[in-house]
Amino acid sequence: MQLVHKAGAVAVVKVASLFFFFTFLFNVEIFGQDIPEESIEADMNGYFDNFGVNVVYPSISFSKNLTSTTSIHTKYLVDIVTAASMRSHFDSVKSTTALKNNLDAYTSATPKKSGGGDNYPDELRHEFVVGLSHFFGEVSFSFSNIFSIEHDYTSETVAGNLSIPLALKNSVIQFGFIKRWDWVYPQIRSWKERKDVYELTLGFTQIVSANFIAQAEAYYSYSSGSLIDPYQVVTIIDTTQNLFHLYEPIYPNKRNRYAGSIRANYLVAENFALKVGYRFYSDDWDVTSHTIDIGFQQMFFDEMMVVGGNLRSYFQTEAFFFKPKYYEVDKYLCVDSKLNGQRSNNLELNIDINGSLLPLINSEKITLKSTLTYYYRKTDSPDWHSRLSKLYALVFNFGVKYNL
Amino acid sequence: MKKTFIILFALLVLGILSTSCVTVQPWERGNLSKPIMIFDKDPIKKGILLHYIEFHEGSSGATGSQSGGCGCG
Repeated sequence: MQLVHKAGAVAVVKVASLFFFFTFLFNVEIFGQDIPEESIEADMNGYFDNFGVNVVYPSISFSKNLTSTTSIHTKYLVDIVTAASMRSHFDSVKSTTALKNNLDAYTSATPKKSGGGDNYPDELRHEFVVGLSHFFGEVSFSFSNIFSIEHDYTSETVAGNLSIPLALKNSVIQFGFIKRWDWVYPQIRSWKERKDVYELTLGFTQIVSANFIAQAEAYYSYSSGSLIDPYQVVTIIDTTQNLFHLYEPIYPNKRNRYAGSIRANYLVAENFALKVGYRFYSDDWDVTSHTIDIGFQQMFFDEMMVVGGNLRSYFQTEAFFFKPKYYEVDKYLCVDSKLNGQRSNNLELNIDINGSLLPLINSEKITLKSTLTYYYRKTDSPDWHSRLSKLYALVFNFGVKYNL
Repeated sequence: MKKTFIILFALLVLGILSTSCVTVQPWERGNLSKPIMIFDKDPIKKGILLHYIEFHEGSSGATGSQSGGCGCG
């Protein structure tokens, strides 16, 4: 069976759905040395870019101390896509994953009657988190379980972290572990694939002086299984016949990732701190990156208001199997901009205001938080779908925290 | 690659250690406990940052946080 398409046909994909397919689901502060403060927090977050992806994702989290040494935390988050193309054109995409699973090599829309199909958009993802922190003397241990589900993706994660203070707590050494079980079953494919991820972190925090603290971290990750982005399409251009063939991406099914970082906070004046950081990353897909962070935080009104800013610059090389265009079928097929050579900048501004400063609230237990971020990314070649090299995005966060 | 990584991290740690010969006593840490001096004081905000950066960039890890559920390659 040979399927070809006239050049010029357009594959419109679920870009917005993809965004959440790749989302980070939970974030645990792994270097904390105190028992978490009791609080309840509600957040509204948004993301808008020039690729046409508009997203809002509210969340609510809760922390409670069970004893003087034990606390629990929970979180619920839902992703809601507010504007995106929901149509797909995958009917004749050649799927090597399907071939591997002895399925029809050519995919078609799945016959599901509700949730996430082309005619029944369902861009919701639910995430549930429950965790426990406990102190054994000065040594702390935390454990979290994270479960995420949407119509085409399920993920279960367990995360553990051990923190051991040394030298009158001038130094802290941290060990982190993550195991993740993911199932990928895109609605526009006829297969279901598994992905497994292990992550190890080793951290070291050091008080350098009464105004200076630094932190170093090493990270290793091993991933296996389906590492492709199933919603992307690789176009093989047949210049002799002015035709093209559409293929599912083909990536290596394993990935070893390494990263090391160092960052430092320095109190320049009584209420003004500088923050700097550098991270190096490398993996066996030949992606190498450098990240530089520099920021500040300024307190006002007796620490009741904090204003800050941060600039992040990022430089990345492309994966060894990435190509912006394909003229024949290679061992690997990849057009993902994420694996392209790129540089990006991220400018963030934040302001936190304690409720005692606001006459309408007038409570020290309440804190209002807001962050606005501008993100710019330039890839070495245009994006496979939008055909744009430059991405601009605005990200906002607005939260209300109530200390119990 | 792995050797480079290990050497790099060892250098980072040694760099910190070499500047930390003086022990800061607990009663001298008032400035370090200020909210502006705490690493990742707001994990939710940090999660939002990582949320979209992980989608747009090919690297991960060593960010001072743990996370889960990423379906990306």
